[in-house]
Amino acid sequence: MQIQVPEISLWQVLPELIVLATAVGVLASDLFVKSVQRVNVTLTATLGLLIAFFTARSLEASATPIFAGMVVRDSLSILLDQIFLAGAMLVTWIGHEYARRNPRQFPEFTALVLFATIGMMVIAMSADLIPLFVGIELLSLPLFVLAGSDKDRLASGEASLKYFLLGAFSTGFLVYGIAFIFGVTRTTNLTVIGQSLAAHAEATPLLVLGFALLLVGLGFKISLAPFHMWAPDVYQGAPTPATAWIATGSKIAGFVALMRVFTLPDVSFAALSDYWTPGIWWLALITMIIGNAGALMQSDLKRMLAYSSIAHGGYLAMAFTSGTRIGAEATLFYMAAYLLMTVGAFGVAIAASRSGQECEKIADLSGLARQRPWLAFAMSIFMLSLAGMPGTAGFVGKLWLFGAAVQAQYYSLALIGVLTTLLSFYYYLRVIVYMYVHEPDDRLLFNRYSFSNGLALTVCAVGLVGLGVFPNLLWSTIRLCTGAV
Amino acid sequence: MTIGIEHYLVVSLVLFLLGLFIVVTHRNGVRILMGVELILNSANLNFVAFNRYMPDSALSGNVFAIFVIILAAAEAVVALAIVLAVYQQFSTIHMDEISNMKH
Amino acid sequence: MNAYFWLIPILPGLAAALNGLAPKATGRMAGHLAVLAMLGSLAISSMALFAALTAGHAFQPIDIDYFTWIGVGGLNIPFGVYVDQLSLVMMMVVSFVGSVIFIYATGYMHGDPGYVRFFTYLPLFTFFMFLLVMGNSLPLLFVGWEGVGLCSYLLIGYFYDRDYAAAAGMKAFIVNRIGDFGFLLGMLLLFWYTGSLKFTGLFEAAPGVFTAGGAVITVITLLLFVGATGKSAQLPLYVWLPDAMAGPTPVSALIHAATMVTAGIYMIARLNPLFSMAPVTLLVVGTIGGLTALFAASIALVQRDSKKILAYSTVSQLGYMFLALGSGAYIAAIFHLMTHAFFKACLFLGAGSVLHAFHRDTDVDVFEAGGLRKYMPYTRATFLIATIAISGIPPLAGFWSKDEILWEAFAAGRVFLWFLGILAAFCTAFYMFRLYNLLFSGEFRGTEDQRHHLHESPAVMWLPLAVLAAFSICIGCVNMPLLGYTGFHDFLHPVFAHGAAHGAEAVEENAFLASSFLSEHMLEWIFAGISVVVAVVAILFARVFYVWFPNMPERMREAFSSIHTILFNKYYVDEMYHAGFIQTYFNGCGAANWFDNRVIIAGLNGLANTVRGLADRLRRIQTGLAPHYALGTLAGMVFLVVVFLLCY
Repeated sequence: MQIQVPEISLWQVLPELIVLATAVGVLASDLFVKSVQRVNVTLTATLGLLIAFFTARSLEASATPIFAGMVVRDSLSILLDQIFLAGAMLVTWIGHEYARRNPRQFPEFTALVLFATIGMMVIAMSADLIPLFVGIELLSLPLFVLAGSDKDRLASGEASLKYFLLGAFSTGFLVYGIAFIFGVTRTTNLTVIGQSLAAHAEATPLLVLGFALLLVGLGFKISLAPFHMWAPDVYQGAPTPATAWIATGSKIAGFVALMRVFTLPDVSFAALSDYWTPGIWWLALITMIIGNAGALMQSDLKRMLAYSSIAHGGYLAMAFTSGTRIGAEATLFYMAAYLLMTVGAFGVAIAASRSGQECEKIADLSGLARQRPWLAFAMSIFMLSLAGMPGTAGFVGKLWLFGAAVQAQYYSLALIGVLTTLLSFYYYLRVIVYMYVHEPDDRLLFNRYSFSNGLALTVCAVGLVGLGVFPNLLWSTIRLCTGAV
Repeated sequence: MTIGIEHYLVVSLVLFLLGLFIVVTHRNGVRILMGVELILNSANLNFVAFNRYMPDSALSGNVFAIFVIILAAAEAVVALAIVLAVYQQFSTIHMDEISNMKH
Repeated sequence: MNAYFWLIPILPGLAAALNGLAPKATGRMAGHLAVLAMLGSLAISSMALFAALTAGHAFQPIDIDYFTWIGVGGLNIPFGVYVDQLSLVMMMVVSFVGSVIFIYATGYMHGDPGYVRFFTYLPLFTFFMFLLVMGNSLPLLFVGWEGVGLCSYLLIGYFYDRDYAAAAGMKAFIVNRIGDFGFLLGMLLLFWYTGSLKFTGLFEAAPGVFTAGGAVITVITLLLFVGATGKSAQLPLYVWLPDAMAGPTPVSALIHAATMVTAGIYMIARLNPLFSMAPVTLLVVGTIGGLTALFAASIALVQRDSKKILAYSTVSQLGYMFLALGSGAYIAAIFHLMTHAFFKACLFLGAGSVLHAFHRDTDVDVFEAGGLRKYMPYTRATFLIATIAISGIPPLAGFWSKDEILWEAFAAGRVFLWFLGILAAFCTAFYMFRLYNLLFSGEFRGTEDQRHHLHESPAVMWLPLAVLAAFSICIGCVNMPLLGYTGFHDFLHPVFAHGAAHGAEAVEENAFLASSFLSEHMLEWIFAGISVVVAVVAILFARVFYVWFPNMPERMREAFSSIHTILFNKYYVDEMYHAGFIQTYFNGCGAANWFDNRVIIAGLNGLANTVRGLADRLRRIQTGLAPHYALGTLAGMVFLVVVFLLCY
C-alpha cells in the first residue's frame, strides 16, 4: 500500500495558525508569569488578531481546494475569516471590561474566545464534511466552557451544562446525518459531491434523511426553532462576553456551514435544492414567530436579546432558503451587520453595570441616557439597527433579506417576516424608552466603562451607521465572493 | 445468512433510538451524556459499515469515524469538567433541579 | 488640481464634525476652525477657477467618480463631482461669500452660549451646499438639497427656546417638504424614462427619449420646478422665507440670501438641456418669477422690521432670476445670482451690525431707528453702497445683472415679464432707500437708553462688510454688454450651448425688435436708460417721503389705508393658507383622530393584548428542563423528517 502525502501549504492557513499561537501564548502566560496584567493579555490578543486579520486580507483567493481537498481558500473564506477575526477582537475588548469585575476567569477567557475563533475559521474554509465537523467541534467545546466560566454564579453553571448536553445531543444528529450522506454519495468531499451532482442530480430517501438530520445539527448551532430552546437559558446564564460570542460567532459559523453544505453552486448540494428548501422554509417561519413572540414580554435584557437573536436567525434562514445568489449575498451582509449590532448590544449590557451589580433587567438601564449619554446613544443605534430602522445597516440588510425572499417568491415567508419585524419594534424601542424616559429607580451610579469597551462600542455603532449609509463598502466585497463582479 | 449492510444499519438505528430514548427520559446529567455517546457510536457504526460495503471506498468513512471518536473523547473531558463544576455549585447533577432559568 | 476637489466639501465637513463631536476641545476655537476650513475651500475653488480661466476654450468639464454609492440592479449611482463653469461660479460664490460671512459671524456670535453649536451647523451647511453644486448626479444634488434644508431648519430654530423661532423652523421644513415631493417625483420620472441619474448620462439620453415640447418632459420639468419654488421661495411656497429671519443674522445672509435659496436656480440652470426642451415650463417659470418679483417687492414697501424687508427683497430678487430662466436667459440668471449674493449678503450683515448695536438678536423696528450714520459710519457706508447696487444704479453690480435680465426678457418676446420686472425694479429702489433712510438718515427715534449704547461694530464685523461692498461695486464689470464686454457670458456659454442645440425653439423672437428701425444695440441702451430713470425716480420718492417730508408716509397711509393694510398684512397669504389648508387639515385631523381612537386604537389594543397573551403563553414552553429541550429537538427532527419525506 502506497501512502501519498498530500501537499501541505501551511501559509494558506497562516491566519488560523497565528490565532492558535496567540491563544496558546495567552494561555501559557498564565502558567509562567506570576501575575498577568489584564491589559497585556488583551493587547496580545488584539495584536495577534490584527496580524491574523491582515494576513487573511493579503491571502490570494483560489477556488482550488488544498490539503488533499479538505479546505479551500476561496474569497468567501477569506471574507469570513476577516469577519470572525474582527468579531473576536470586539468580543475580546468587551470581555476585557467584564474581566475587571471577574478577574478569576482571566486570561482563560481570552484564550477560549480565540480557540473558538479557530473553529469558526475552519468551518469557513472547509471543502469537506470532515473539517466542517471538526470545525464545529473546535468551536463548540470552548464555548461550552466559556458559558460556565463564571463559577460564582449558579446560572453560569446551569447554562454551561444545558448548553453542553443539548449541544452534544445535536452533534449526534449531525454526525448521524453525515453518515447517511456519506453512505449515499460515497464521499465526504463537497467538491466531489458538487461535481457528481452537476452530472446528474438525484436524491434518494436516505440522502434526504441525511439532510434532515444534518439540518437538526446545524439548526441547533443557529438556534432555529424548535432547536432553539437552549438559547434563552444559555444566553441569560453565560457570562455576557461569552454570550456575545455564542450569539454571533457561533451563529454565523452555523450559517456558513449551511452555506458550504447546501447553497454554494457546483461545490455543494445546491443542485438538490428542491429537496432541502422546504425544511428550512418551515424552520424559518417557525423561528421568526417564536423568536419575536418570546422576546415580546421579556424583562431580562439578555434573555430578550437571546430571543431577538433567534428571530434574526429566522430572517437569515428566510433569505438563505431562497438559494439564490442575492439570497447568499443578503445573508452575508446581514451576518456582518448582525455581528456589529449584537456584540454592541451585549457590550452595552456589560458597560451599564452599577457598582457590584450587573445589568440584567431591561429596567436596569433606566436613566442611562442621563449618566452615560454615549452609552445610551450607542445602545439606541444597536436597538434601531436590530429593529431595522433606515439609516442603519440593519435596515439595508433586512431590505435585502426580504428582497431575496420575495425574489424567490416566498411571499408568505416575507409577509410573516415583515409582520414580525413590526412586532419587534415594540421590544427594541422599549429599551430606548427605559434609557431615555425612565428615571433610575435607585441612587446607584453606573460604573465608568473602560477604554476597550468604549472602543468596541464605537466601532460597532460607527460601523452600523457607516454600512447603513454606504452599504457598498461591504456589498462590493461580498459580490466578489459570490461571483458577481 | 450473510451479514449485509442492512444489518449494520438496523443495529445502528437501534443504538441511535436507544440513545435518543436515554437523552429524553433521563434526568441525570451523566446518563444523558451516555445517551449522547450511544448516538455518536451508532453514527460511527454507520460510517464504518458504509465504508466497508462501498466498492470504490476512499477510506473517508473510517477516517470520519476516527475523528468522531477523538472528538467524543474531548467532549467527554469537557463534559465531566462541567458536570463537576455544576455539582460543586448545585450539589446535584439532576437536571430537574438545575432549572432556575426558564420562560 | 482636480485631485483635490473632494477636499472642498470635506474641509467644512471636517470642521463641523470636530466642533460637533468634540465641542469642549474646540471651544472658543470653533469659529476659527470653521473660518480656516472655509478659507481652505476658497483657496482650492479659486485655483480651480484660475485653471479654468487660463484654459479658456480648451476647458473641459471634469467628471470624477470616487466610488459607487448605490448599486442595485439597473440603478448605479456613483459618488462623484462634476465641475464645469457653472459649478465653478457656484463654488466661488459659496466659498467666497461663505468665508466672509464666517469671519463676520465669529464677531457677531461672540459670547453667545451656543457658539460651538452655531459653528457646527454653519460649516455643515456649507458641506452640503458644496455637495449640492458639485455633485455629478441628481440624487447627490438631492442629498445636498435636503442637507442644506436640514441645516437651514436647525439654524432658523437656533434660538430654540423662543416659540416663534421653533415655529419658523418647522414652517420652513414643512413648506420645503411640499416642494421636495415634486422634486422627488420629477427625479423618479426622469430615472424611469432615461434610466440614468448622472448628469452626463441624463443629458446624453434626454434628446433621444423625450420629444421637445412633449407632455412627458413638460410634466417632469414642472415637477422639478415645484421643488425649486419651495427651496427658492417662489409663489406660492415663498411663505417660509420671511419667517426664517428668526435665525441669527449671518445665517440669514448666508443661507437665506446668498446661497441656499439659490439652489432652485442652480438646479434649473444645471438641468437646462431638459428645461430648454419644455417651452411651456419655461413660460410658467418666467411668469411665476415675474409675479413673485412684483408681489414680494410690493409687500416689502410697508414692512417695519429691517430683516423682514430684506427677506421680501430676497424673494423678489429670486423672482428676477426665475424670470430670467423662464426667458431662456440662463446666464443672466446666474449673473444676477452672483451679484445678488454679494450685495444682499452685505445688506443682511449691515442689518446685523445694526441689530448688534441695539443688542438684539432678530428684529428692529425701522421706525425706532434713524440717524445711525453718526454712530455707525462704516456700516452706513457699506449699506448705502449695497443699497445703490440693488437699486440698479450704474455702474454698480446690480445694474448690470438686473438690466441684462430685463433686456433678455424683452428680447425674448416676454414683454409682460419685462413690464413686471420694471415695476418690481421701481418698488425695489423705493423700499431699499426707504429702509436706508429710516435706518441711517434723520434723527435717532429710539429711547435715550438705546441711543447711549449705539456703537460701531468691531473690525471683525465691518471689514467683511467692506469687502462685500467693494465687490458689490465692481463685480458687475465681469459682464458689461452695453460696453461690449461679455466675459462672464462667454465663460459660461459652453454649459448652456448643448441644451440650446437640442432644445425646442423655446422663446420666439420679439416682433418689435425685428421690425424696429433702431439697431439692437441702440435699443439696449434705451432700455437701460428706462431702468435707471425708474430707479432714480423711486429713490427720489423715498427721499421725499422719509427724509424731506417725514409726515408724508403717515398721510399716505391714511389716504390709501386699505391698500396699506393689505400690503402690511402681506396680502393675508399666511391667513389664507391657514384657513384654506391648515384649518382644513386640522378638521381632517380631528376626524382622523376620532377614527383612530375609536376604531383603530381600540382594535389595535385588542390585537396587542391578544398578541401579548399569546406570546406569554408561548413563553411557557420554556420549562427550564434540559430533557424537555431535548424532546423539543426530537420533535423538530421528526417534523423535519416528515416534511422532507413528504416533499421528496
